[in-house]
Amino acid sequence: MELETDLNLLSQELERRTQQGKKHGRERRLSQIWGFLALHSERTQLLLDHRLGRLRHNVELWFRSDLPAVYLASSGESTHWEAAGLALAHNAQSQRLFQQITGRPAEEVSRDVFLATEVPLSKIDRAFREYQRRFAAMSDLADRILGWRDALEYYVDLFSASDLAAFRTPRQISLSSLDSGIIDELARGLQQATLDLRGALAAEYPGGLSEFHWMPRNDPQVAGLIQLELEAAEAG
Amino acid sequence: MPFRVVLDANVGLAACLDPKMDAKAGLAAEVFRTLQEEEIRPAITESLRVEIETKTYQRVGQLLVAVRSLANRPPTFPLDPNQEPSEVVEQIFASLRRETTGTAAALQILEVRLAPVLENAPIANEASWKDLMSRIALEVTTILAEIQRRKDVLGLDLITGAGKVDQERFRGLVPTPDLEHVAVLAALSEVRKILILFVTMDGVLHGIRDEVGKLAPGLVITNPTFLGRQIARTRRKNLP
Repeated sequence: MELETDLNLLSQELERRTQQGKKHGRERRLSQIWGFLALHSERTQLLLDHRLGRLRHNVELWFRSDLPAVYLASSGESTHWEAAGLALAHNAQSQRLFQQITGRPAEEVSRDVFLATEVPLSKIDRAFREYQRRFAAMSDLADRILGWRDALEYYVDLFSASDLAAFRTPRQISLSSLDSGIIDELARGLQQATLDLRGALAAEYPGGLSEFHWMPRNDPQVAGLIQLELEAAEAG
Repeated sequence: MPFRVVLDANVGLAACLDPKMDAKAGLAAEVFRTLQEEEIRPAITESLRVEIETKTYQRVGQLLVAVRSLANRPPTFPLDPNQEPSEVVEQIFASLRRETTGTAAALQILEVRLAPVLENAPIANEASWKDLMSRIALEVTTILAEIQRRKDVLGLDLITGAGKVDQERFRGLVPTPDLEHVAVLAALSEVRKILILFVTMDGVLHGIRDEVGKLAPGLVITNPTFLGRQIARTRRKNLP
């Protein structure tokens, strides 16, 4: 919460400075942008950790239930893609920004290097706005996924709870207390939102997506599952 | 006549495998090499895309259900000192096989995954059993995302706009699972006035290519081995 507030305040401050032009010191402005980027990076990492924590909770919930597999499959798939979207967009946009401002890859840029740049402030502002705009585009898609997953999780958890005290506590959940049609509908919405983000990632960050992987190319489980599918198709 | 190369779901799936691990993956890699050399972007129809997604989803779903069954059926702790942990787990899998249907393949994948884990770090109590199952369930959801990622980076164009699709024309000739795909491809070739080279690894489908060609002259079914020659032949015909 505190981080979110700091980030918002800094964002507003940066916006004001943009409107007021060059009368404020160059170093102060660069320092603010650096501060924003550091906070933004921290926030992205926190979001990724939070999403993984929620997925672990969902695994526990699913183990204690007779919910259909689509509940955990769509929850897991969407979590991994949401995290990938945020991480890939963050990394790619940070690289682009640091390259434009310092001419170096992000890993080599320290605060001192960043502040010492001689690139004109107008060009830095343009690059920074581009960073924000492009990250926000991916972040919006990730938020849509989160919205659908919230709806699915809360429907299952809340509507199966005997009272509010039971909500978000580990307990047995029976499908008989829920409507499987609603679960299917929410899971479909979640899958479509995930598909939209996948499409955007493939279009915007094809290189990053190729290099990124959850499992090695020769993973036996992935291979086993695909081979199984191919054999099943062959058997008709 | 302009043409497009459309890949069957089996080619798309095989391309998600490591070519060093599987002969079909090698063939699929050959398809992509040929297309790259010819500077052709492969395409897929919505029905084929849905088939890949749905099948992967269902298979992962079976795996998850099997993991849940395992999680809720821990061995009796402490384990019998006269029994090896792998023997205990084998008994659990055997009873799961007796009691569940349609999950044989999923159980096989899980067995392969679990056996080395249990050999290296035997499970001491119910909590560590549950913990292991949670990790495996998470891993299974990751498999789903990984297969989707591998498919997404293949760079397949989604070809749409088939309009009205007539499956009846092919009924009795084309196997039911492929009926919709073939009908969509035929409609696409007619509506868009293009030739479609449909690459499949399905022997049955390739076997009826001539009959399908008579019903839909704009649809040419081929396989990875003959794709390069088909492209060359099509290009020759297109020469003024």
